[in-house]
Amino acid sequence: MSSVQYLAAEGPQPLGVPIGELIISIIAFAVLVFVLAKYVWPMFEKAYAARTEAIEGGIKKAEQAQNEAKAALEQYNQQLAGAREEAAKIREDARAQAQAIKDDMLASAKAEADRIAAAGQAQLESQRAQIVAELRGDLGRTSVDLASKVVGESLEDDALKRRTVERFLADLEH
Amino acid sequence: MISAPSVPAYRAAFEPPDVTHSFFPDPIGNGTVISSVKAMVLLVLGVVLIIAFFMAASRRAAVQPSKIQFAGESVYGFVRNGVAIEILGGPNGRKWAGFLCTLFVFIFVMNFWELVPLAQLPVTSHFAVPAFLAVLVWLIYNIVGIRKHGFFGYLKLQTYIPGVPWPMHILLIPIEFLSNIVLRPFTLAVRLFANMFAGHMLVVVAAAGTVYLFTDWRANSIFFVLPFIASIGLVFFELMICGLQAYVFTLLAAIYLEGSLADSH
Repeated sequence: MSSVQYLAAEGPQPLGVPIGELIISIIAFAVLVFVLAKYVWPMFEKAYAARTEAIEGGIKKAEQAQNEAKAALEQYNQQLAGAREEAAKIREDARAQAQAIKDDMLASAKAEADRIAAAGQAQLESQRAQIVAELRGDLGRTSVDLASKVVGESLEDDALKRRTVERFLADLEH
Repeated sequence: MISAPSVPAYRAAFEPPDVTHSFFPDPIGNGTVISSVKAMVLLVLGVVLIIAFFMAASRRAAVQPSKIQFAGESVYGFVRNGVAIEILGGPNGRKWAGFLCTLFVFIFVMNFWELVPLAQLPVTSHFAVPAFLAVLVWLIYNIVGIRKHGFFGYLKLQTYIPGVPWPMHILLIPIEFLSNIVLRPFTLAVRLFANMFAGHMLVVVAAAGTVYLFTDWRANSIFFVLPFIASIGLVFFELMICGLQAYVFTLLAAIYLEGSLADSH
């Protein structure tokens, strides 16, 4: 068919709009728009939303975990600092206690020494007194004996004897 | 054709494929109601296949998508994010994403019939289809604009360019009116129709040339390789055109909608 024949022919034209084709196109496209808008696109939007939520939920969860970890670290650090402080305190206490014990011991040792020294002193004093007393008695008797032998004077009289001894002792002490 | 001048008597001259045979092979009657039953069957079949595919893809809208759901979501996401939200912005983009994606998929499948073996007829090369789509887009963007801005507000938005010396408006307002209100449906429809019509014609001519030369059984039969290679290349070229024209149509529809929804010129 030549182009002249074609143009002359009664038949479909490339730029013609056959009414049946137009109607079928409209119906088919309307059905497509309706079905996809009702059943397909909302489902896809729902899947997108669910996915976005899942991702955002994951981010939130991770953030929460991070915050928890941070809080735990802070708490741990606090505890560590507390423990350090406590250790320092214990050390300080121990040192103070040791000092106190040392002081106590020193004091009690000194007291003991003083006590021993005082006891020695007292004993010495009493022994001296005893010796002096003994010596005084002996000396008196001996002196009287000696004197009576020398003087021949009876000193039997107690009062006289005591007086004589005392005079003698007084002379002796001078 | 190379062999045309020396065609022997027993061999008919190469007859280029004609429009009637290529596009309207089986009209009902004289073709004023249905110019090709095949095209209409493909149209309906295409719609059925699109619905079947997307119903299967969205049956379980899972957070972790299956392969088919991923495929469906990719197509929707491409138009939703790449065209609708990109051009119309967030809220309007989400609102119009479904329609624009339907438009894109419909045009692409109707184009793609050109390359499907046995079908090999782009439904969009029947002018009724792109004409209907273009008029639909024209109606939608005008109605949306009039509802948002009022009739005169919309006309002013589409035709009045602010910041121009006033005498220029004598020239500009008719031009803007013509290009924004009158010519858009024609350019939309003719662009899609002409691309698919011409593309199909190209492939048919190359294929017919291949067959004619291959069955010539003479020395110059060897030249069949030239249209053969061309037809293979043209099929890939047409594959690109199918996608590109669907994308361009959808993109322009979104841009026209954006023009109607805009607050100022």
